[in-house]
Amino acid sequence: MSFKKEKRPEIRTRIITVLLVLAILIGSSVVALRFDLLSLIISPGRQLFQETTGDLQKVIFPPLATLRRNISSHLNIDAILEENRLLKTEVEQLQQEITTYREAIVENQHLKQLLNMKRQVSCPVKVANVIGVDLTPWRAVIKIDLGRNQGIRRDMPVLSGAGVLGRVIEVNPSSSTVMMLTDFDSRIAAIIQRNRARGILKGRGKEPCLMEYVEKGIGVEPGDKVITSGLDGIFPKGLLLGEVDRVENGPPADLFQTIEVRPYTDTDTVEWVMVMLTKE
Amino acid sequence: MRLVILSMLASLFLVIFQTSIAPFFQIGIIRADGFCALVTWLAVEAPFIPSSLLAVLIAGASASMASVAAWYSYPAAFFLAYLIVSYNRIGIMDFTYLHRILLTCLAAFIIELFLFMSGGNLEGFWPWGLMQSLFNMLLAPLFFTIFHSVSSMFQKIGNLRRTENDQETI
Repeated sequence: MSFKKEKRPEIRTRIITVLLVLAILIGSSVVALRFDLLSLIISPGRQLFQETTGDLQKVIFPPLATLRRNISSHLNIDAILEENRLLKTEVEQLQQEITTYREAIVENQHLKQLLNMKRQVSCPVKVANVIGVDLTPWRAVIKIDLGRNQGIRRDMPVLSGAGVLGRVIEVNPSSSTVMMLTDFDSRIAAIIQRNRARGILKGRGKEPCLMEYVEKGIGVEPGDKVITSGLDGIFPKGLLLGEVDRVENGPPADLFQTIEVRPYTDTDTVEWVMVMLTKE
Repeated sequence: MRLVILSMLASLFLVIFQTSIAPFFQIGIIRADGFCALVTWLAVEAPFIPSSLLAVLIAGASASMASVAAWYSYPAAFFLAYLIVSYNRIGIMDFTYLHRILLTCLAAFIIELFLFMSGGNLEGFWPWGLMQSLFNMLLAPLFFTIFHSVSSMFQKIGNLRRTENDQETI
């Protein structure tokens, strides 16, 4: 009998306690919302908590993320290798395309130079490719892919984009041999454009050409342009040959001065030439 | 006959190689030259034999046709080099590979000197002609290998034909 009586107050106490706590919570929430107490009490605490935890997160999170990235990349190594291989192939293809475009640019520049040169000459011309060189290495002689069948004749002048290259010395049905102005046997009648001093431009292989038989006393200076005089009956007058590089008077007994002329044409890299059709 | 055919084929190959491919690897006026090695090889394999002499002259004529040098320059240069190398070859008892290379240098020296002289440009021989001779000496083993391989091939073909003819006779 006493046991049941002790139990009833306990249950009642509990119920009253719960109801009281609920009432306090609800009441305080209503009051807090009504008077915006949350922002006054909870926000600073929240901020302090965020700051503290954030500092810790900055130290801990990035290394873990890197570790996770490395682990996943190691796990995906096959995919990466395949992607690498595909990218390498694409790079090679693109490099090949770049090389092709660069070649086209160079060819375009050379042909533009030839076109400019063609506009300066008054006779018909034909463009030819260089297809070989002479067997003797120190001879500045080349072979082109035009011959008698294309209207080429002996002693026709040959030009490059920069100026005179040489003349045709041998003609075959479909190819010709051209002696360049730097060859040891090459002689071209020339004049200094500025003072009209006449001389003969002689080739010396890899060395700069020599302009011979220019009398002493005629003022020739480095930088003077040298052009064809037309007196040899092969090259028309006024075509560019080169530029004076060095002038030496030599011993007093010499009648002529020594003039070195650097040709405008680079005979080592010529690929396309223009043949002037000056003869029938 | 074998040497003559070999000389013709080698000359054709060397002319095309030296006028179309070798210029791209030229340094100054130093260019790969197989003709000196060919002359040396002919002089070493068959010294003072009419067929090898004819082969040398054919090589000279082929080279002359591919060059604007005077028509006699190459045949005369090759002939002179052939004579001197053959003379030296006969005098050597224990003939080794080193001898071949040194004889190529001698042949190249003679050929380059003659070509510079006949072209009226003797002063160009120093230093370019000398350097070309040394370069030819360095390239000689490669050309010797090629010539020997082709010659062996011709010899085998010749032996096969002889064997077939002998069998037919029997």
